Amino acid sequence: MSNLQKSKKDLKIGVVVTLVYFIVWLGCTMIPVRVRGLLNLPLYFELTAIYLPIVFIVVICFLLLPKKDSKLINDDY
Amino acid sequence: MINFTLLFLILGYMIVVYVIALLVSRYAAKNNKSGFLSIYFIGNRRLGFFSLALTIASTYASASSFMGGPGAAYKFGFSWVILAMIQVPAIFFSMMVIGRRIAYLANKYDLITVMDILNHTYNNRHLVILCSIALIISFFGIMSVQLIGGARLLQGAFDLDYKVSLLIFILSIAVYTFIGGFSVVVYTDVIQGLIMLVGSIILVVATVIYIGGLEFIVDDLNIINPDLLTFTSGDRLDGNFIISFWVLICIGLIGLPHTSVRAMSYGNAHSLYRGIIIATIVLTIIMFSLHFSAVLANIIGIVPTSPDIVLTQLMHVVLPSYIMMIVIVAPFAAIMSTVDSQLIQISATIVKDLILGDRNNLTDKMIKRIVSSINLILLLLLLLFSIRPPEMIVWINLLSFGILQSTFFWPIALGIFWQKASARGAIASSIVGLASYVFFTIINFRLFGMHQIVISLILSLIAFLIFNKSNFQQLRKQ
Repeated sequence: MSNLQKSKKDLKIGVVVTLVYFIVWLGCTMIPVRVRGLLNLPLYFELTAIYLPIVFIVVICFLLLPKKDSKLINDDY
Repeated sequence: MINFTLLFLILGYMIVVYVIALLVSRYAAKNNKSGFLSIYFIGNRRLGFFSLALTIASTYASASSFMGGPGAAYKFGFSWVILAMIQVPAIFFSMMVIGRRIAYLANKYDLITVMDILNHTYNNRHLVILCSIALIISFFGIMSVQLIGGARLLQGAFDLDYKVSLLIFILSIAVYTFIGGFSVVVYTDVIQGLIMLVGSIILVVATVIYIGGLEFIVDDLNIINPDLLTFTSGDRLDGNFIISFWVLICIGLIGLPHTSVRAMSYGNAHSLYRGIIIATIVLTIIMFSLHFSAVLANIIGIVPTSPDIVLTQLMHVVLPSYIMMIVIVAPFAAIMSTVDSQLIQISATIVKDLILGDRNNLTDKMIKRIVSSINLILLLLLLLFSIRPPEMIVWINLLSFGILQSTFFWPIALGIFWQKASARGAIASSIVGLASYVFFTIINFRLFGMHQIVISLILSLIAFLIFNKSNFQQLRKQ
């Protein structure tokens, strides 16, 4: 695969994952303040500031770590 | 009274950084096979993913993460913590979108600066000059914010005179950017990134222990001010305004030249991916710890003289003095690592893109002299500019971010992927983006309550597409 194709694949992964993150984040912010989470903080806060970032990091580890693509970036077009 | 122990600690820290810079630059000079410019500006593409990840995180985590941001979190509560956490996917997004392509172009065509990328893609001198000017102005703004913040911090922590504090900062930065350039800055950034990480974890843990655990936080905040608990901070912030920060501090990172230059330093895709993960983890921990601690400062009853120094005052209360000495260097680390990388970027732009241009007849020694003199002039200008600081430094920072993004976003994003992108479209996009951003900011117009960057990015995309198309029709006629 050429660099342009690979870069476009990366671009798609980046856009899709970030878009999903944004939509879930937006959904979480709609939870009313009075609903409490596991740490006894407002649930919307626990989700957006603690759990979602952790899930996100796990997801990008799964997406990026298995890539055995250790070739130099300057492969051909 | 001046706290001499702390003052010596900060000075000692700066000396350690200086010595490291000296050793590394001597080592680099010994193994120097590439030209001076390449080594100075991008560190010769030989850095491991771990060091690069930490440099991304520490350059990104600046004075606003230690002062402006936590100051706002102290004032607005959980709402601003969530706003800061929007930055979690920022490095992943920007590096996935432009990282591999930029690293490829940089390696293949031996490009060093972001302006090289634009020049390579569009081959248009007017665009480079236009973008250089936007870059110099906004970097100048961002650097002065860092310096003002740092000087206020020194002033608050040690009862020093503001001007003396400013001078200490500028001198220490001058010393080590003069010695080594990017390869030195990278190594000092690695140390500073680690210090920030450890410092912010210690601070948040100590704060939570001090207030007796997480259990009663909500009840306590409810008594102090229930607004601190809500997403819109009791309607003090517009929901759409918070959402539009997804553009300003996440997606818009593509338009920040100091992000793209990091991608240029990667030698292979493997380290780029690992770098993304490490940088995301580090940044997530730093952002959460600092902003969350600042909200908790409300419970402890800290009333800072200025919101900017809430964390320093919090450290005084919750940390034993010997631990505080370790933690307090963290904001200095953040500020220095941001300013030095930007200083190098500005001098890269001035020297490479504006002065040298296509001239290749200058020797390394002459270039070295030009770079040093420009750094010196820039630092003097910064000193003059920061001597009388404005009240709210956070807004200069966001203004500068917006200027960079509205100018660079589409020319970079479309230029590297879309083969039909033309210089004409890029210039139109930069001009419309920049002009509309400045205009809407001055008249304080917010479309549906969203930050001005949203509308100016939309307008600049439209401008790009319209002018790009007309260019092609003309070509066809010829």
